[in-house]
Amino acid sequence: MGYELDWTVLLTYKQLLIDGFIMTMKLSIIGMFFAFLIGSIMGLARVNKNFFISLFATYYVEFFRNVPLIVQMFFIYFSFTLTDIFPSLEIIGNSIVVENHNEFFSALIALITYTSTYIAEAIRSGIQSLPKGQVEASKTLGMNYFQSMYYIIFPQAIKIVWSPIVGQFLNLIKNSSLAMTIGVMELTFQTQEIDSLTFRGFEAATAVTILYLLLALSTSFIMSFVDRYLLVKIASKNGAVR
Amino acid sequence: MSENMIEMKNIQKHYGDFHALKNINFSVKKGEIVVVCGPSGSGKSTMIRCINKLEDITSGTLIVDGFDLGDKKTNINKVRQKAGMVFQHFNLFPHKTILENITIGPIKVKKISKEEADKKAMELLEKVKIPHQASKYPGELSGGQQQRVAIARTLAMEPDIILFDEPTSALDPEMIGEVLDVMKSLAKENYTVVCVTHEMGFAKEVAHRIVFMADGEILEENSPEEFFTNPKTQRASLFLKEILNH
Amino acid sequence: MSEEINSFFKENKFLYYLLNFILVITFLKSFQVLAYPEADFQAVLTQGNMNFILFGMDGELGGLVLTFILAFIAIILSFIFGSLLGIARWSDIKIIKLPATAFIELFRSIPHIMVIFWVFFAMPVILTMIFGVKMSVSPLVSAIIAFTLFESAHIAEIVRAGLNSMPKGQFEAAKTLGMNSWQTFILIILPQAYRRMIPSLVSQFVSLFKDTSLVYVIGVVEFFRAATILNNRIYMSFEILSIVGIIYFICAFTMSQIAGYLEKKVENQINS
Repeated sequence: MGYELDWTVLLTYKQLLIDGFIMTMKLSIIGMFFAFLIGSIMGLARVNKNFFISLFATYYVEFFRNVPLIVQMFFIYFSFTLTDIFPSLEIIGNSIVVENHNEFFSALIALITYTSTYIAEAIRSGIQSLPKGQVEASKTLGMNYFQSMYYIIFPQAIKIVWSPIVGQFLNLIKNSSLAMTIGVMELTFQTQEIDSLTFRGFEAATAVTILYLLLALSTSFIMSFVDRYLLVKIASKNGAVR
Repeated sequence: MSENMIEMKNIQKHYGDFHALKNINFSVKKGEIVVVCGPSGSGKSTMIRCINKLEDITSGTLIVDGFDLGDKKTNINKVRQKAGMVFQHFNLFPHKTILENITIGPIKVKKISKEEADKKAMELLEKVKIPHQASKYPGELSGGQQQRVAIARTLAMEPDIILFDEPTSALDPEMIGEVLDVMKSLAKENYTVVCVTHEMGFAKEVAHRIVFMADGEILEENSPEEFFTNPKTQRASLFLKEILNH
Repeated sequence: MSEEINSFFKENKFLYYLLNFILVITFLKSFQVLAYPEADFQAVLTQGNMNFILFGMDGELGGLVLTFILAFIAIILSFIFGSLLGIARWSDIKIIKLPATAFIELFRSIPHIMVIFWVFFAMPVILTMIFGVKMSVSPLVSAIIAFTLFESAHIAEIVRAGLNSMPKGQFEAAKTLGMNSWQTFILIILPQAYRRMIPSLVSQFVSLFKDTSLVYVIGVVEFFRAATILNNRIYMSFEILSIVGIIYFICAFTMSQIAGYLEKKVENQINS
């Protein structure tokens, strides 16, 4: 990098940035979905009355939380060839236009397991913050476990901890950058690519930073819509609806 | 088969080392209204919560409407539909409207159609005198109104037994009356009622029987007239003195 | 049924730990047998190999020891810098609040390895510009600087939250005693606020500890990098990476258990 900045390289190599952005989005969107799904299941399991269910859920959460994400990615990628073990991944990978299936899915699985632990903890704390009377009232109406969870407990818990969960989604977007270490050509990877081609690392990094910021802001924005239109509303005395 | 809706024989309950219920023998006939009273910590809430299995007993026989609660094969959800409960802290669902609070049980558990459930719910709201609150949320209602909704929610399930766990203890004094009025009107219908309360006026007016508990045991059982004028145990006399002086 | 199991294990804590120990070992072993039966841990767990990943190369600081040293230096620097930032953002003085906010939000939004790359590539250039002479920066120093940058952003938020959680009464009481702003702040507010922050700060340290693995990308030979170097030599990634994962787990899990213990102590202090 010299004293003069050359921003035109960004235009010349804009395809790389676009490809990287799309790859990051694929990792992020699929990752958020499954991290939320698995995190919800694990969070519910953590508060289950059954000794072994909650114990095994604790094992899951503690294990995948305390091992660094990059170690998890490396472990999956270097120890296994995913497409040999799960041939269907090839088909899935092709359908979402991903080329290096092993790299992508290793990174994706690690992202999902790592992030799901934080979401599980958030949901656990949301459920535990509800008054016991809510479960008791649903029981006295004759609801079974699944009915009380689905209609009464889970909707309230999600509403309460939505903000921390969105925080975890944003973390997932940032953490997706680690996928570059095993060869996934996402956004951070492209910073290095452009730098090695043009020695304009500063400009590339600036552009990539702005793209990450955009992705984070859009996600926050979409999640606040989810909060307003999808999640349950809880109203208080002065008429204020949350 | 006996006409007892609730039958508790030799019930013991322990919380770890603490002996919460000692040798409880208690039965309630169909249509009977029983008030359970006693000092705090006497186990009255615990006992009533055993009836719909919100608490588990350590030993003894517990039969509700012919169902043996100790039998593993008993479907507790079916039993709970028959024995509704009104809580001290109302426990309405804050994320659902008043109407939805009342209809969710009938729709999801009894599989009644939404139209029918809504109609029934509005009738119940009329009965507890707050039909205009149907589309509000619990957080917007006063305590007394919330408790009346809780009663309507219980009635919507068409139970045979209604359990009240200190229904007015969390209310401001000026709201106690409206809830007691609703409870009194229920007494005229054919529900079997077990009510834990400190409201002795209510007991005098509608109860068929008063059960006095202390330290996890039933010390006295009698008709209201007998109990208030002629308590048989010293504990009961002390208790009545305290209560009636406030 | 579960009530009895739970109370049984509350009484017999030793049996509880024993059960967990047995179950965990069973899980790990069955996973290994299912996934990679040919695993040969003996070949990896040699004195030489362990020395390397724990202590680094001979004569140099590396391995797990370097991981801890890096984490400690970084947490101290970020604690100082982060506290200043957090107080600045919490204050109402626009001149310091705005830049602090911008810094914090920026470094909370950028992925950590990007910051590491940035510093590694930009530092020599910036120094050359300042000092005029061609300077180079060791990867370790770049790592420390990068960590300080993004960790202090996180710590700043913890500090800000801690200050916001202080009851107004504390500020008012100090005022009625005639203290001016600075005295109030340093003698009354800060000590209490920091006591409340201890659990979050320890938790942040655990995060930092895990993040040290990221400096892999600029070649610092700490624990993770050392393990990958070993892997490039002997190509036994399942064994090496499982050992790495387990050691990270033991360290991080122990530290978060300590954090949990501290959290209980702090709660008792606040409530008394």
